[in-house]
Amino acid sequence: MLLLLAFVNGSFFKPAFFLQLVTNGLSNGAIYAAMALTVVIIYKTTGHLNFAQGEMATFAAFVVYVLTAEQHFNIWIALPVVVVLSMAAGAGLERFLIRPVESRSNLAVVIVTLGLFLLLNALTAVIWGTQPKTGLRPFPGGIHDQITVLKGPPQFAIGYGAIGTWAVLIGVVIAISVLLNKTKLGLGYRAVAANRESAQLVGIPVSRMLMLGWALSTGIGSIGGVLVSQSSGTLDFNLMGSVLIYGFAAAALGGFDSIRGAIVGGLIVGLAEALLPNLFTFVGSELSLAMALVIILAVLLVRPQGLFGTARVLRV
Amino acid sequence: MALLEVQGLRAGYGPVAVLHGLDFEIPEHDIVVLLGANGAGKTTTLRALSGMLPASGAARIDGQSILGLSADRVCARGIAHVPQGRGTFNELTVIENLEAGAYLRRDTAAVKADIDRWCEVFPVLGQRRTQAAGQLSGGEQQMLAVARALMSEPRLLLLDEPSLGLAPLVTRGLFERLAEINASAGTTMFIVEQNANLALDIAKYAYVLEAGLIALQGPAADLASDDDVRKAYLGF
Amino acid sequence: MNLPVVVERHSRAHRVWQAVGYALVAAAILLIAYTQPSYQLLNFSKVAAFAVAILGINIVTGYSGQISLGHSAFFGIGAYTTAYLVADKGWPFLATLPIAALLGLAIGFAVGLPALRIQGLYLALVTLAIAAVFPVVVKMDALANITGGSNGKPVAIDWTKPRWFSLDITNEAWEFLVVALIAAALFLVASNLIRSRVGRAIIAVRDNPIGAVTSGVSLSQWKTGAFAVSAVYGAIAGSLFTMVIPIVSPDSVGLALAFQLITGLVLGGLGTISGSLVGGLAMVFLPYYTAQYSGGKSLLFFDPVDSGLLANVVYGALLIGAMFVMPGGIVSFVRSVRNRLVRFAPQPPATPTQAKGTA
Repeated sequence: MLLLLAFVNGSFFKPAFFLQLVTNGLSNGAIYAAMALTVVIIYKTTGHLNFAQGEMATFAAFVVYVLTAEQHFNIWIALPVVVVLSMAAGAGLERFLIRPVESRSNLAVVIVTLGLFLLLNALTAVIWGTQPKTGLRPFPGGIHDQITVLKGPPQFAIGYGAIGTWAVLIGVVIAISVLLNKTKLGLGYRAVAANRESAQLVGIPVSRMLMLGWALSTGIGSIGGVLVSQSSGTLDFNLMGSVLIYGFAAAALGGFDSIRGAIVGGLIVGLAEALLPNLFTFVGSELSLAMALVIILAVLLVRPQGLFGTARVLRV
Repeated sequence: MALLEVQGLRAGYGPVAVLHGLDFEIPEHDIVVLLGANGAGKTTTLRALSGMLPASGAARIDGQSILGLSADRVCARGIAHVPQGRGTFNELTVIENLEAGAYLRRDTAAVKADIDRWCEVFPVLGQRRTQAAGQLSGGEQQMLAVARALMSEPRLLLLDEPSLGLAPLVTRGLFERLAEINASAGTTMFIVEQNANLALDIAKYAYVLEAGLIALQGPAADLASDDDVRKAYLGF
Repeated sequence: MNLPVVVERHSRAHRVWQAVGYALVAAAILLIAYTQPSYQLLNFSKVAAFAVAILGINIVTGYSGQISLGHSAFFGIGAYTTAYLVADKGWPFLATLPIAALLGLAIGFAVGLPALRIQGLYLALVTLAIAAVFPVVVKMDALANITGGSNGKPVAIDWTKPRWFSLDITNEAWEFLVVALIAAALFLVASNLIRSRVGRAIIAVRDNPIGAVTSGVSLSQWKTGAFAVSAVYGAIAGSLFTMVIPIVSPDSVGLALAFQLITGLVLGGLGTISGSLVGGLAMVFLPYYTAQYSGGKSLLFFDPVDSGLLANVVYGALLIGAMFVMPGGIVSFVRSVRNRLVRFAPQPPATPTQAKGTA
């Protein structure tokens, strides 16, 4: 441990710098949390991982682009429309693409989602080209669109984009919580997640619950795609590639079947991504993705249920 | 007309046929027991009735056919199935389990009243209302599963080996409650059991299943005193 | 003649059938070497390399049942090994093959051991993440000397036909022959492995782990072993590929390759040996034909499309469609047709009268 101190970056400890990193980390973390939510919501009821979630989000973001940049709708009209469309698409995917092959094997579902990844990724590029477009701006994102907390130098400012991202995430979390914990639909969903057979026996329409899970997941994913576009300032067909991996890392850390875990995991991953490269000089920022992999590996090897997940014993 | 009428019931898993044509009926307000060794097809019978397994033949409740319906539709027709191994929603609280049982009902006030009623009938549930079902003991979970099934106000209650894994004293308590519920509310029950002392005590009629066919049937008291049955299923 | 003709495994008829099959493959290789133009020889060499890679994935996913989506990383390790040793250390390129294999073996074990503790879907996630991270690691500044960083590492490979080789074929044909022969040898090894006790143990582990354990099969040994062997195949494939296409770059051994390998795997036939060859053909010729089709032409009302992207759209659609229509891949379809003509039945068990005993 003492040896590590030799590699610590000195400027890390300047308050403004540190706070800026934390803010950025939490801002990205909010997006990772949203993506982790999409992973968990589907996993809870179906036990599947949707590897195509990122590409579906990218596609949705492009549709928003078309509606706003080309058809000139206001983004706050386009966004809800696209969210609803995404939810319908997600439900349809579950019913017609995933459910028929579910009975074959787990591997078959993995392959279908991988195929979907390939298809959507390439299709996005075929339809809209490979040149990046300017990022979507649900929130004002200019250089001066921020709240300056510390004048600096170095400056510590919180962008409106970051504030908006948090607001959206908080809104999503509240909406999901209310839906799952206070409504009958949510009770049905959680029952299916707990024990699918028993849920059938008490009359819960399991098919509809599975579709609901995918619909929620895809809807949240499309919101995530738009937020990523704002945060990165760009929009291209590889937008969500690495974001999804961070989402998986967050879901693993929090526990694949824990909604609370997805939020906490996402924020931690975001913070780690922001802080670690700047704390230790030998960790370059391009290695963030490797950090995500290390997190996934470490969690699965040491404590597979993550921080908040339920432990299921399957050992031979 | 009996509440449940079954003729020529056949069911299986893929190419393996388990039930080879069952004929039986369950009169309303009665408790009927299905005995049989492991592998005879008892669980298969219940699953065929509750819509968890495709089956052929005929099965009618209140004169309406239930074969070919999905499990949630069968539940809507008034059949509640307590599966083997309890099948409680372990991540949900006791109350939520009961609410889930009433999923198809719309009368929220009556549902609340029923939850209170079952918490009285099974006091241990009342004590642990807000605890997760997974924290309950085996016997408590069994009672929760029964209460949950009763929440849907079923015409027919199917119970798959409710005594499995329970201590004898707990089992006795459970069956006493079942008898009380049958006596007071008139709920018809179809109980599947392997070791069936207590079940035969509270039942009116019994069938014995062997290798997918009904081998024996008769009033419960008669079967309880039948030597062959006693040796095979009652342990003495 | 009654169809289907039933042939007992390991009988003489069966051996003849197999020998004919091998002879056909050998003849095809020679035919290609003699008749194909240079650019097609290049394609076929690539097919051989990819087929070996897919065979590796088949060993670990198809036969041993552990989902590994990250074989592009093993491929990349082999590719960079050969590139580095030839370009920086001046090794003769064929000599790098065993080194790549050894490296693959070591890393295969290193991955296979923790893989024991990670179940199915999670293993898929981890291996996918490995595939995504590998190019990132390669691009690291610290390794730029070895890997050439983002620009990749070009290599000079000399495939001049040696003087002692008497057949009158071009240098490219000689290149194809060598690569095809190495691949064929690897296929033979894998085929014998699967049919042997080793193979049966691996399959037992996949189909019924609990049963396998109670039969005395050591799960961890076989599963790790399968992983290690598959990594060896992946690394050799990467090494061979670099010998054919003498440049490695991080993006050529990343997620895109991982997905293409899986597509080849599924299209060819998961859990089959011959399917790996079919998969290799699909991986090379599908983009080739989509390039011919699209080549600058507009697709409906979209702008002229990069052929690689179009290939990916087709790959994606095929992957999904295969799960519905042909989950066993092309090979299973061909086999079901063949089974109407010729069927291979297992040997009947030895009857007591056949056992010789002393009076």
